[in-house]
Amino acid sequence: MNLPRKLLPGLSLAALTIIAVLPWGLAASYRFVLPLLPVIFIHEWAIRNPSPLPAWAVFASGLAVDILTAGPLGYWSLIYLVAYVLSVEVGTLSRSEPALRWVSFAIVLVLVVAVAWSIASLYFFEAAEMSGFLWAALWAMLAYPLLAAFVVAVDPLPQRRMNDRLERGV
Amino acid sequence: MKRPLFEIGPGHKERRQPSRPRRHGASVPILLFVSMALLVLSRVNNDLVDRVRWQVMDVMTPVLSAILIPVEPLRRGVQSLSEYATLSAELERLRAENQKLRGWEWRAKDLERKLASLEAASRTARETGIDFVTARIVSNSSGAFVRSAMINAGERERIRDGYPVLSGDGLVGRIVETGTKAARVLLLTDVKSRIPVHVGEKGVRAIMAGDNGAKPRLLFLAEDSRLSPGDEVRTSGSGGGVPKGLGIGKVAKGGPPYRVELHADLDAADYVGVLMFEGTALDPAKTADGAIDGQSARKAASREP
Repeated sequence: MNLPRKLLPGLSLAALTIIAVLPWGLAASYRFVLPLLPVIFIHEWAIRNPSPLPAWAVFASGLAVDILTAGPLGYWSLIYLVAYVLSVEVGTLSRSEPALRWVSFAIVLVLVVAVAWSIASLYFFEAAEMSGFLWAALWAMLAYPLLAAFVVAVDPLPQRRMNDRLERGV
Repeated sequence: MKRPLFEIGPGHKERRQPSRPRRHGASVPILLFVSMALLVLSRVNNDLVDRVRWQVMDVMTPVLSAILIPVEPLRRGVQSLSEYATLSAELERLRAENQKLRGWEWRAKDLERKLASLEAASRTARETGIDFVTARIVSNSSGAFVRSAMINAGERERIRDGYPVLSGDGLVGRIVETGTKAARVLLLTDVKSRIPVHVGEKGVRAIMAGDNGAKPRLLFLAEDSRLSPGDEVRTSGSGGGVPKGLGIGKVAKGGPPYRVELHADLDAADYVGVLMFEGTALDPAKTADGAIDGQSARKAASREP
């Protein structure tokens, strides 16, 4: 694997992280989706075996979101790491089929949003407003095909062809 | 080297890697632990965490400012789309409002004449000669935690904690943290924001308190105070934290509890002015206490929701 290809996952995640913290002029209720967008890239890179995206890059991305949005440090890094672990576990089941990848992302996203809501509630010792989280999850689901297509375009997933021989242990 | 029996084209290397359990390595548990530790330290307001945050922010602010330049057209596009999304609801509201405004038109013309003379009289109380620094919002908070914005001016521009921040429409918030090249503005809608205000022509005293919603609440109103929707809300200057008479918004429909519809659009604010107001920069809790005088505060406190 050459150097630019090796750096691509980390750089693409860093770029999306910066995009997520820029002031886009969106209303606060719509803005909550922005930190969830990097979860799409994390999922797409994490389902490759072995994943070209190192865990520390996922952690650094979350920490950058925390710092640049003046949120509590460790919140988004924890959420992104949870998304990374879940994507590795769930995403392996459906790496090649786009529709199945979307379903696996939906499963990961629902779990990630549940964890995000739980941590936010624990942080304040009171139940956080859930509607913002649900809207953000919906928008992230809709944004998935676009961002996932970008990742597949720059680094295609291996496809099994009709006459490929299946061998034990391969 | 012996060739394999079957070649299956590009990408075969990935498929030919032996199946193995997916492992995250030792780094993931360690990083998860570090994240949780940072979260706990943030919760207890650890000084070291704050220092590190501001050092990184000082480095990142010029970078974000530079990034904003090429993405400006895209940003404008996103902003327009966001506005279109709320356009149909806005149109309905405007139609109803237009009907009502026609009825008020004749009265407005009469009031216009009276207003000119009243304005001349009220001008004597206005504070003047306050310097200000114009800064750009380079990032704003997302999510459930805070309503704040980061601006690209800090101690280098002589900005200090407590300075009031205004957009073209009115008060936006106050500086709460200052780095060398950046500062954080606590917006009026944040749950920690407390601003002493005067409401309406009679100047009813209250504290405007954010709750992370779009319309901050009015607290500590005197028991016999009656407010009407549309009553102007201005800073009272009590406690010395902000100058007297800065426009904030108007009393929203509904209530009690009364809420304030802000003049400034906090989501769309782009450039802001930081007033170099050398008043007594008090913490929010002290401001809340200091702004209410004696008996009425104690009476009202017992009724606070």
